[in-house]
Amino acid sequence: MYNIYIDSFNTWREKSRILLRSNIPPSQIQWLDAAAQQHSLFEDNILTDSAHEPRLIKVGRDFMQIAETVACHRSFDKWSLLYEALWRIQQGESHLLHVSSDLITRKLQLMYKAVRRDAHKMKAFVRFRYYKNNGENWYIAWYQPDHLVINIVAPFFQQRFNTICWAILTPDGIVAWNGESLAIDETKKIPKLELNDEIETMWLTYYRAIFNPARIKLKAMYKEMPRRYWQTLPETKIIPSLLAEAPQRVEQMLKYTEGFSQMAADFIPKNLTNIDDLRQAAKTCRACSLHQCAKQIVWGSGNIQPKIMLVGEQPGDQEDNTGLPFQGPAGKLLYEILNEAKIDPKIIYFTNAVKHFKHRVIEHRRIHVTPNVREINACNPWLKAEIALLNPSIIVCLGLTAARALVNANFRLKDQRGKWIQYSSHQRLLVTYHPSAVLRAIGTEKKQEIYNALLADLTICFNILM
Amino acid sequence: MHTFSSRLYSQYKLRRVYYSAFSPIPHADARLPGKSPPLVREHRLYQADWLLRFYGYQVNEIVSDQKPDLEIDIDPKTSWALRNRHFFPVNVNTASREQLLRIPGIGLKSVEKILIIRRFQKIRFTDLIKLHVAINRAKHFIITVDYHPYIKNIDSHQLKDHLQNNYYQLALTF
Repeated sequence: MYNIYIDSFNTWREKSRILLRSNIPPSQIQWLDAAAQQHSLFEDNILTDSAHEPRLIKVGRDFMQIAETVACHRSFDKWSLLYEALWRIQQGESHLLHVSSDLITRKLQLMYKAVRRDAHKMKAFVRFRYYKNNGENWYIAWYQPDHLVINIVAPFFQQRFNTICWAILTPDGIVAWNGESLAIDETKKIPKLELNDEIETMWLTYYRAIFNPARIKLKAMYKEMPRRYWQTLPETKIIPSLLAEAPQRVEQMLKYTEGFSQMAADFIPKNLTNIDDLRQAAKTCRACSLHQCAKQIVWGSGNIQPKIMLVGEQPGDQEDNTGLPFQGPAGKLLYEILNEAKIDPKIIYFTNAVKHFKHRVIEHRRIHVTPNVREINACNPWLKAEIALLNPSIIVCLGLTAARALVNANFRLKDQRGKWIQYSSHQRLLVTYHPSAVLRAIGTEKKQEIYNALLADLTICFNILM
Repeated sequence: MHTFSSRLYSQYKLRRVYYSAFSPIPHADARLPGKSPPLVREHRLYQADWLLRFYGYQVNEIVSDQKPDLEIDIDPKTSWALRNRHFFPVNVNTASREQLLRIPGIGLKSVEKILIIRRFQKIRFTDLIKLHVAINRAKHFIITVDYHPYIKNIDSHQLKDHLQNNYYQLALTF
């Protein structure tokens, strides 16, 4: 039995070379830690390389790559495993490292993987704290790696934090970068160090804010951030409390939803054939909250085999009372304009994008309020169903609300008013002002301008039908 | 969905498509469901995605018009194997790379290792155990030098039950 004392990869390499030359099989060797024992007296003399003509020992580069990494593993078995692999390769099993099902190969592969993984984790889990030392700014971290990886990882930190002074203190030694040179001292071992700085509270606040209570995957978290690394990660102090309050936070989240849980589509009967069935069904619609304050639903009216469909915004005070669209001041103006454009209202079907009157009450007067996107969307299936049943060849959207309901939610009147838009393969759509825009405009000049534009747009529609 | 991502991979040469199951968000729209779906659904999407990207499967082998959804109880690769039992058992020592990739329980890395080991020695059942393939799933579908599955087994109706049980056991250590 030979006792071989090892303190580094290089001594292992030298001694293995001698052992191989002397043809000493792995079973006859006991590998011992040079640092742990007083060994010089017991070292076997046979290892002073007595061979007269040293035989050249050759081994593939792939073995050396794996061996160098495995040498960073913390377990002491690595030396005997490496020698055994080396021995078998020399005995003719040159492909040993390729046979992953071999026990030795598998063990070496696992060790290799563990070291690589630990080096990777160190890159992720080192947390620097700020310190001022003799007027110099330093960033100090204490870290406990699983394996002897500080030599592997040091160049990464040197590149990554090249312009600041930093030091990583570990139980295996110290790595430091002063902005000019990298120093690795494996004799100074720091078993434990508590560090703190004021940036930590900011980091914890940030971490708390980005923590998503609705997407907790504990197993994945413990796998990616194993517990043994937690002692140096400040955020791990708040993880238990974040996890504890997560179910409550999710419950709160679910309680406060926005918008309406139903769509008008939920109230539309299937297999519709005529517009009256649709009108009857619409009376029961509870898709949005507007039905609560309006007196009645204001359904479309006019020619039910229309060439043109005019889509307004929503019913107003008078429409809500009578149940018919375009009855108020804006409606009267619309009929005037149609008259001036020489369009017969009898060929038109009039309707609104939103079917209930949205308003607020100020001093007993019901004041119109523009419906929001959610209300427009909730009501949209009624409008779409009307279009599908009546099949007009031209659709005219009066104002922004109708355009948003039928074209898209970001529609801008300024850019696209008066331009033809293909609604479907055989239907065209045009967006123009709502007649109420004329009434609301300030100054006669402005009023006249909008009036003329509206008149021109409607005339175009009429001309196209001729 | 996979038809779409398959197009993204083949026509647009995307390297990776990500899938995310719905999870509750603050101020959510009321029409959205309140609960997250089981995580295994997202897992199945990724499994199928991997089959497309690394295992040489065509999208219509995983989902088709007749079978538009992935099974929740077995993974898509096992599902394919059960629908194509004539393909098995596969001889691990002689099969091509493409054939090996279709064996349930044997992954991409294991296939690469098997191909290398095969150059030097015959593969035995214990070799596969040492390679840490999911042997309980794979054993129904393979032939090695020293192992041959019961030929009846591959056509058995109970095969799916065996594989399902395996899945639930695996899920515990997931």
